Amino acid sequence: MAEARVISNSQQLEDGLALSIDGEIDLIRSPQLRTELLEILDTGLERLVIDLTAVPFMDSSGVATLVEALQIQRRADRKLVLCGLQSKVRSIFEISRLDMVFTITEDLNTALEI
Amino acid sequence: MDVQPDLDMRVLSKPHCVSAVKSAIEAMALAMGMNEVDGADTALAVHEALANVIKHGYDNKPDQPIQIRVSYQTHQGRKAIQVVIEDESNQINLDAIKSRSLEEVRPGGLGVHIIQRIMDQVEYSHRETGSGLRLTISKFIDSHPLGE
Repeated sequence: MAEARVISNSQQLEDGLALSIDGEIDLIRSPQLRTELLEILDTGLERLVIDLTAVPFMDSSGVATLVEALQIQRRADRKLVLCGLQSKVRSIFEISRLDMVFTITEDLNTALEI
Repeated sequence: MDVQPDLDMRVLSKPHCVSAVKSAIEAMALAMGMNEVDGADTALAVHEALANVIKHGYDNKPDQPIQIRVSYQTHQGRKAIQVVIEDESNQINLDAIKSRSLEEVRPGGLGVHIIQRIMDQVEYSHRETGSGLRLTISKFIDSHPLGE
């Protein structure tokens, strides 16, 4: 049986894509997120915006998936922006000091202006 | 541990069990009087510890036992929540368990750092049975949330 998709919504941008992710991203679902993100990144997007407004919790496996996505974008001199981090998700980024590494905005509208 | 724990759970090394334990830990921490932020962080630390047991201790085998015991403790006059996690994995050199430098940005290897950053006390030890590790972590209930 195919795993349920983690990316719930996507919005085409002039130079890329804005995605929404729903639900907890942990060792259960992060492999599926990784599969979906790698498929999308393989298309070579200049800008990828990931909206985490509907993600109440993320563990280090979820963070690792986003770090991998960031590395792929950076290697190709492309952008990745995160937005809408809830408090528990923001906390793990701060604890890992990745809040200084990623471009993070409060909400999707602000992310789309970058 | 001489004193009976407040909460004693035995689970299998399955990812959905980690989620269930995380929820129980957060509920217990809040019931013990911890603030919401610290309660969530404590639950995250336990989640990361269990994920490490599954991935590194049991090589992702889903049918191995993990014991989690939660106690309300007093250290030097301060109230604390203590969580002891025991597995039956091969006993490794404890010096190999360390957090990595965060200077290099790469996926993976953050679990131990997260545990050490969140919890006030972290101790890895070998179980006396000859197999398995014991992780003892505790967090003061009256501490300030990280960053404050």
